[in-house]
Amino acid sequence: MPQLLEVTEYDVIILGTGYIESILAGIGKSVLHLDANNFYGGNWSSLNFRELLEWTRSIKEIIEISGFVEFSVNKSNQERQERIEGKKALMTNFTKVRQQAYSTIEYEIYPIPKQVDDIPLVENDDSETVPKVESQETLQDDEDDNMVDSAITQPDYDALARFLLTSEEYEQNDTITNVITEQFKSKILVRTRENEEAIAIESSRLAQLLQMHKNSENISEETLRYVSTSLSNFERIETLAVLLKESKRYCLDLAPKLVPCRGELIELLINSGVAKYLEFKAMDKTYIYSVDAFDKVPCSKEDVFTNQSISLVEKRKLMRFLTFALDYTNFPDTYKGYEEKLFVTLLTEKFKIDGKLLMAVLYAIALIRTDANNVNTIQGLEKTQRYLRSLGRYGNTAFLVGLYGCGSEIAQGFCRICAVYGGIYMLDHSVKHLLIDESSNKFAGLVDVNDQQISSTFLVSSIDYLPPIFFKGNECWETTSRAIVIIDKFIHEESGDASLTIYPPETVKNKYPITVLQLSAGTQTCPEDRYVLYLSTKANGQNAKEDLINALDKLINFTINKDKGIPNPLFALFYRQKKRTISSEVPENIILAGDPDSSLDFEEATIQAKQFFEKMCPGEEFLPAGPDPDEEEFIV
Amino acid sequence: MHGRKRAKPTAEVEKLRKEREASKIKEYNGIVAACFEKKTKCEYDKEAFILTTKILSQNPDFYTIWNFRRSVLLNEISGDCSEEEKQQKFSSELLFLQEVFRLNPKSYWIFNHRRWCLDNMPNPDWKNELDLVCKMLDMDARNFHGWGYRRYVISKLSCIDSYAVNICKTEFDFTTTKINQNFSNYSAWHQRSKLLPKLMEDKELDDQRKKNLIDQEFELVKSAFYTDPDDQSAWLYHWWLIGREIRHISVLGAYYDTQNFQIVLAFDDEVGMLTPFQVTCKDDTSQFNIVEGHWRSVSGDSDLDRMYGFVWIFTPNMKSTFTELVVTVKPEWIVPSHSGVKLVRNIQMCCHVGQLPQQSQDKLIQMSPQIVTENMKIDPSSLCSREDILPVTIQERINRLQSEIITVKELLEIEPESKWSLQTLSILLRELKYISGLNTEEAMNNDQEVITICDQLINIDKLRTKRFEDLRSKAIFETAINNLIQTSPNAPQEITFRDNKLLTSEKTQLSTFTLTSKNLTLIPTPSILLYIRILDLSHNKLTSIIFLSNLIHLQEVDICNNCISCINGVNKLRFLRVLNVQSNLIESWEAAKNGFVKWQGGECRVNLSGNPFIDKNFEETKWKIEMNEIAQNVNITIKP
Repeated sequence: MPQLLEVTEYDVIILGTGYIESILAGIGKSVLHLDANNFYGGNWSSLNFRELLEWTRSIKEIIEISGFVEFSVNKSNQERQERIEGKKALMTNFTKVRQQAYSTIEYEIYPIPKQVDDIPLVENDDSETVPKVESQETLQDDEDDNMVDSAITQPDYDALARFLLTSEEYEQNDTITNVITEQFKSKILVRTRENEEAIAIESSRLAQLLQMHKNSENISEETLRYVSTSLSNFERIETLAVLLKESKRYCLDLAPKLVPCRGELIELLINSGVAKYLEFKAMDKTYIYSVDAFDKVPCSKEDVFTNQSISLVEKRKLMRFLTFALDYTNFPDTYKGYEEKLFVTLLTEKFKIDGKLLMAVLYAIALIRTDANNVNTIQGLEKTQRYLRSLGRYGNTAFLVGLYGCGSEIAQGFCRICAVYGGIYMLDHSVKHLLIDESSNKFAGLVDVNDQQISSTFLVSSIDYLPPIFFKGNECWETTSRAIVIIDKFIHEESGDASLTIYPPETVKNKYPITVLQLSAGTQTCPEDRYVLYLSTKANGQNAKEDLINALDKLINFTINKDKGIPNPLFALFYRQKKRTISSEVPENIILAGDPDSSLDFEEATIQAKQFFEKMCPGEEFLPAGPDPDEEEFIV
Repeated sequence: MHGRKRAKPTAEVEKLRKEREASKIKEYNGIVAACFEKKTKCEYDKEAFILTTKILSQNPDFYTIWNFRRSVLLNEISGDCSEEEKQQKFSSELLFLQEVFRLNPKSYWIFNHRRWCLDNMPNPDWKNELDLVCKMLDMDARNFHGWGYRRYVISKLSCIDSYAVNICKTEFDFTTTKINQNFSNYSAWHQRSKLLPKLMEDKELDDQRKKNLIDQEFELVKSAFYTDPDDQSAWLYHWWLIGREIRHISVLGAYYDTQNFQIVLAFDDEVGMLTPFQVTCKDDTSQFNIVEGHWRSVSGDSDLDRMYGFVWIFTPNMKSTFTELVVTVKPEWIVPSHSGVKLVRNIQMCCHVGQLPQQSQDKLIQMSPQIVTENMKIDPSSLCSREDILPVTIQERINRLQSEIITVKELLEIEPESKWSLQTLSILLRELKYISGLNTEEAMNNDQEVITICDQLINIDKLRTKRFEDLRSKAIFETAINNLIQTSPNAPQEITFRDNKLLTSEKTQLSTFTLTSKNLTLIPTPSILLYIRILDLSHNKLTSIIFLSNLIHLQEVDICNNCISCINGVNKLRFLRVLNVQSNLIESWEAAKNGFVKWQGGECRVNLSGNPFIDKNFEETKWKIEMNEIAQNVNITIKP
């Protein structure tokens, strides 16, 4: 029996608990806050490992099975529009709309490196007879100590793969899954919950892959090879089982971001009092890549002083520029004539900064995320200044890293403010229709999953909840290639709890700079002895993996030969994330909270939230501090 | 839970709180009274000790109680108290201090008492003491008490055993950490300057490693001032690392004025006399006998006990002609005028006195080279005896200075207006000059560079203009003196200031010294001009002419167009005939007139025109009469 809401009229209904939506939840009015997900954060969320796999599957399934869904407005769609109480009822499609924000998702699991004296997982024993695919009963019970049986040799897996790909017998997805599951189960003798789960996940993933390729006329060698390797590689299942076991200790961000020590968000957190719900650590160091080496980037005065990779003269040049940039508006003469020129020109001509140092200033201090040839002096100086102003406030760092992941934690912080003001929260609660008053073309209310009609003056909504009818299908969206990688060692020594690594353009066949954020257990986002890498860059090539794999390759070891010095991957997820914009008009009382952008911080999103607030509550103070729960001791 | 308002405490709650406080105050006052009673009665017993503990636990800034507590403690450990018992006693005292430290980590009295304990206990644990204040400096990296205490601990250590060496090493690393966190932390640099000499005492460290350590220091500090050339901490430490050549006081020379039966002795610095210098002469049997007499400084005021001066005059009790007079000055007999100048330790200056011919009134005073004693020829390496962190040879020091000059010049190419760089460069250049010879061509070039630097600094650093003007004057003056030596024919080339040999020449040019329109603000070593008779320093920025008192042979002085505000130092110049003080800044008639009180000279023309005291209502006749009353022979000009 669904629980219906007692109150059906609100000042604001908010759909989605992403960053912008959650800030707006705290405006101090009567708020109903819904999310179709069963977790906070929406596209800004932090997920544990199991949730991340689940999320990957939920999005990938649609992409791979249905192909890209286009939401073009056609006649039949319009005819099918329903009417409820005289209002136009527009159907939402959360799952499909959300899926548009992602593409080229793929993940890979790697064997956990073994100590040399470990017992080999797979023994090559040619004397064994080649079993048939169905003959999984041929288990060798006398080898209980080994987790994996070694009966099948590599060529047999090729045969099995070919068989599965071509045989008419296995048309149904379920059947293929079962065959693969049995195959895995026959080799992995230890039956823990995680092993079972890992087998199920991996089987279904492979089955899906097979199903996809079954329909194609020619089966490529590559596909065959991949399937064959996947079938033989039991170590991956072992890795997966380990990751599933420690799943809850991960907080993996879909859109990992940092908090500048001076900026819109930090001030908002302080003023609103949300800061007391959150914990942060300082980002430790920034590294920059050039020709197979990583150098520490001297960002602050202290860094310049202690840095040993730059000469005395370079130290001076850099400090001269940094001192000027921090306060550049007071020295207009210094950049006079350069305003419209490229930022690079100012640096090389005026400040004589070149080589590695130039790269460091452009990509690690000004943090240019695109091509430096598109950044003029004023833009460059603004970016540099923003960075420099953040230094020194919370120690020798420009950024804070949120503990337990950033997206969900910050979103929940703001949601608590809303709750303090009496807002109502319902997660895992979807919306069926948005109602539009035809005469005024305004949002008039919505129909939720329980068919209850709820109305409000304003609707704040994540794009995911926007009825497909609003998408014209020709949108050009800002796309970011991202990767989440779990590794077993830190990538740089002394990188502390969090570090940033930058690849300037053209250093690893990349058109745009690539950033790598490394977090360790100290940030409470992964277990001890694990490290999480977040890679991101502006999308350029065919897919996210292509954009990022070369950078990753410089940091971690993908080869079979395990080197103790270099980190080994356990899991890598690649995906593209899009910041969607809507070109068609939406009713004026619907506020569309945007997707995460490609930047490293929340600044633009915070400014946007502020503007939306101004629209809803003109002239009011933006999120003033709420009541202080610490003062309870004075309550009589 | 949410959204409730803060409630003000009720009157009843407030009253209860006040009552509680009042009883506490009463109790405290009681204890203090009891403690003072004990103190008055000199009862240094256990009870007294407990009372002090009670008070200090609440109010650690009550220094009278700390004093009393020390008396009690001393009383306890006096008598038959074993070393172990003492150690035990002081250890528990240190623990107590740690407790009260929490109440006020910045209390002078707590630190004072702690030092007292450590100074008195048999086996103080110094490492523990350093750890104690570590936390303090984490909270406030420049905490004065914290660093002061660390310095105290280090000063107690001598790097003769590995225990002390290890502490010093750890402390050295600690300062590195603090400097890396923020190199503006001068306390940390300062601590390093205390540690480095200690580390050099370490016998385990060979010379090469010591040198490397010093090199590293230079690299570190360079990195700091390249990063921020405006940060004075790094520069001040750099200056300390370079060190200053200790300028030794030396005797320029002495002569015997046979007409006046007086010995004139000139130093290159203003010195004070603690013990009269010894004068001896050879008698018929070639034995040296002490000549009795008395010394006075020509510039000093004989009315005052303390006398300072560049030039000293000895008047023997017996007026007779002496043969082979020798003046001996022991270092402990004189005091230097300021800390930048030192005495050569253990070397006494002996000066053979030359003869001043009877008829020398019209001739230039002659000084023979032999007046420089053998003793004054000091091994140049011993001159490099600045209190060095690591003794270096002359060449090593020159190399160091030259490489530092290059470093600073490179920085100046990027930062031409950096005042700290400019100042450092001027220091380096002058140090190099002192070490590589004063009147070499290099030294002259260095002086020229220093003058240019000073000109820049005067414009850049307006708040310190006067300092740079003085520095510039020194360089200009020294250049002029060098020129004087080198341009005079027959000037012996080997004679340099450095070797403490006297400026000697028989040529008349040397009786004239001209240095005009150079913006001079001071004459650093007037005694060098002792033999000058005609002095032209017109069109400069001199503010005082007191230095003239040293130049006892002066006949004509032109010092017009300077910034002199009063006339002094001329009344004992017996040969002065012309004094031109036209267009200076003398504000009153008295300031001019009083300079001629006790006039000892003969006929003298003094030009006072163009000074501010001569306004429209000047009283020429009255002043001339007044001057006549003071100094009959002095003839003043007032109108231009």
